Amino acid sequence: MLLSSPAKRRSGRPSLLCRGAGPAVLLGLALAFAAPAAQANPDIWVKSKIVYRLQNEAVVGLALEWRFDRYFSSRTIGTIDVDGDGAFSESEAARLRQEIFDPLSERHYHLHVLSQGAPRDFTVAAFEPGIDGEHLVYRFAVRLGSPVPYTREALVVSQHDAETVFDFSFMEQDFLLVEGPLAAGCKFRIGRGEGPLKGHDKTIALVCEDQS
Amino acid sequence: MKRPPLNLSRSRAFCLSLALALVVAAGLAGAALAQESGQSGSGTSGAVTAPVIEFAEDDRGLWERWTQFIVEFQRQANAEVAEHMNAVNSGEDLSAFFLGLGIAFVYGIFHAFGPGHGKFIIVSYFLGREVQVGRGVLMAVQVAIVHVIAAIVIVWLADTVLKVGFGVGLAEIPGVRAGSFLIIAAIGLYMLFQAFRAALGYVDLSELGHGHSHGHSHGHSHGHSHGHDHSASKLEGGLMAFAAGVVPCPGAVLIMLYAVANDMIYPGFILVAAMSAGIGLTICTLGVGAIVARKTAVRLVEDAGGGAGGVALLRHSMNFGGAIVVTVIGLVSFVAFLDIPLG
Repeated sequence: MLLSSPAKRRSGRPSLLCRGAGPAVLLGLALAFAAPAAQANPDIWVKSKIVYRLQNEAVVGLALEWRFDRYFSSRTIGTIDVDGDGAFSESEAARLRQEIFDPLSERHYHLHVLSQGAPRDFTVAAFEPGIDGEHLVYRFAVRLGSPVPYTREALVVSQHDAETVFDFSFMEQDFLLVEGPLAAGCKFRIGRGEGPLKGHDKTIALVCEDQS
Repeated sequence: MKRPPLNLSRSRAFCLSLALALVVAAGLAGAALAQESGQSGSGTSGAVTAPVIEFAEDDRGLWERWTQFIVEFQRQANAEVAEHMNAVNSGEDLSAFFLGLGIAFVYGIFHAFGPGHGKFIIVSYFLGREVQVGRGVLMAVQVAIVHVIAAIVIVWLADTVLKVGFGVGLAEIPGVRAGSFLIIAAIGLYMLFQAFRAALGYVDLSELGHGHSHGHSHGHSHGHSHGHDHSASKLEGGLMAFAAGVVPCPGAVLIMLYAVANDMIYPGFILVAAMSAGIGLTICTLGVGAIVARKTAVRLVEDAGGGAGGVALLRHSMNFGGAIVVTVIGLVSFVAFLDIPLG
């Protein structure tokens, strides 16, 4: 037998980690450690759209739209739309909010808003669920605790679930809009997160020429 | 009563007119809806414009690109599977269904690369066990089967179990998760016990994981016989596969729920089975990789002149290492599940 063949056994000092054994063990450990680190296992897929609300060269809030995949939509619509009319009545919408949407507050609605690298508080100002064909749609607005003067402070927004239950991607069209006048010399830059947003795939930075 | 003959040209013209009217109406309705949605709960009103957007240069490393590819693939596959289920339901040809099967299988392969599905436990287990490659394959098949059964059982229980889990995570099924963590911890402790026995010389190193228990029976003739019992190792492997697979994949559960909701139970079942087979293949590859890594390490030490002492030391180290990792995963997961502060 390969592993215990007396013919292969040699006397002499044990050289456990020498010449090749290390790489083989490391390969096994790498398989063990690397795979779970992939963090690529979402179960709920969301296409999102975001509208920045601007007033007096400050961002005062955001309006978001989430369009869910068919599976999550099917389950949720089937559970909540009890009369099966393809729309949420007031009471159905209230139930959806209470049972499904509000618990997301524990995860800050997977919404990350930072200015000058520090998280900013926000509250949900409105929530309106809807049904679009087979898809569940959330439309909700958040109001920032205090307006962010974006011409002076860099504002970064990201939608990301650290536990990768939710996956967020942008809608194909008009996924990023502004309501109100955007100051000259300002634009949006989409890229990977840095600092506290490291690991976030698509952060949205509102950058202006005169920003500090 | 005789039905008047159908005037095809008039009928066609009517259909065309109707279709045109519907398209126009749909367009107007869509525009109205879009306007309404823009001004509704989200509160968007006034001048909404598209700003200048630029995309930062993609400077991802190889590993991050791979991860991104897996996510992108799953995003596409997730939508495709539903499309193909609908195609089957609407009576389109079976090729749509088989294509859906293929997509579900590959979806499962990539889905399993993410957290969960028992990969880490299986790899640690096999690094700490002296087993043949076939055991790795068998365990992967067992995990896949348990995954399918768990998904189906959970769907049956969906109305009473899953309602509370929407916002926070569909896999939060208290009893199942806690039970699986405890089984994993128990197997880890048993592996640790066996590793100690092997280190102290009570059992042969090569017999660990083979489940060779030596039964000494002394009959009236004072005969002495050795019985090699594989049932213990089979039980251990089966329990490990059960523990690793019993927490159902929420993705599979959602597909199954979708199938049930749309009266496509059998296509849904087969698609979930295909997805689980893909998950099983990934687990199998990792498990067999761990088995081969262990064997290769031992052989390399032998070939490098490590001697019997070196080989034994390596095997003891891996036995203890695998056992400790499996135990720690089980216990830490259980403690985390109970939300007990460790600090």
